[in-house]
Amino acid sequence: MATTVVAANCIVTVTESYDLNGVSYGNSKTKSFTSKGKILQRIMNVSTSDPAIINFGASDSAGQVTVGDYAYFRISNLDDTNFIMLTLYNGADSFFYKLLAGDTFLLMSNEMDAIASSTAFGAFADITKIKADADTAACDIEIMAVTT
Amino acid sequence: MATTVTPSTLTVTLTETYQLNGVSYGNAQSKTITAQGQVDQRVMEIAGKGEEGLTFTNIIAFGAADEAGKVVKADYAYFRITNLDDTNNLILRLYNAVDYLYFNVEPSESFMLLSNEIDATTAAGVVSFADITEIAGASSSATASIDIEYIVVTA
Repeated sequence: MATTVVAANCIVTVTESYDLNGVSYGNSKTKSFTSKGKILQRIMNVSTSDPAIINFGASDSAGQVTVGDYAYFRISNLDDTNFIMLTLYNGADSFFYKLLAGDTFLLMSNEMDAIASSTAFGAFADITKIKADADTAACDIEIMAVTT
Repeated sequence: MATTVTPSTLTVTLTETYQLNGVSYGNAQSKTITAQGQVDQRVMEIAGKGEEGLTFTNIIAFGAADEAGKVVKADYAYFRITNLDDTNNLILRLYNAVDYLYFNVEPSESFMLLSNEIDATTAAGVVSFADITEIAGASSSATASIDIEYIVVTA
């Protein structure tokens, strides 16, 4: 027995359109993630209780994808008013980011390090958990995670 | 006297194209940021990290007023950086005057920030957002430099 899923390329493009003083600024940058065979795409509601929205672990399971197969993650705040406090956790350190209404945050690599009050770089570690804490009231979000 | 620059709208679009098992996944997310009148877009070289330790090259700072290598923090709208190297990673450092955040940006990958408020902890604690004041980078190679492109837009 073998899977019938044929791995495909995930193509991600960031495009800026900005004309100022007669000059066109911005660019269109594309990243192709080749031969990816797993996808998690979901619209979900996050509360003000800081729920986990995805985990990265040893194998696929409910709410978890395989950390060793990481390719791409994107979250969009679908609320029109409230921000979300996004937490990226790598097993030791946490990075907090204010995801404003309508904003998107993406990660093409899952390695991070966070150092509070010090200039000393420690070591990169893979993100193991992402949480989203809605400010003021629950918010809808969309997430997408692509793995090998 | 007054400026002759007319602020305009920045539109940032993220498009994902991915078809798997007969289903089209992904989406197109756009963010429109109106009335932005300052821009800094540049391709520049980031030096190798050094044989010992980790040496960073300053990329952009955010402060009270525009000056060389610095834009107005309070007018922040958008920042994107792309690693233009085909081999070495960009070690990206974000600093908010208290905490340092590091991300690994592999060849041809991009990292973008629609908001400039961040915080970091190495243990449980109260989250206190602060604006980014400096972004720096280093090549993952000890000696080989990399090229990067960044764009920062402010009001």
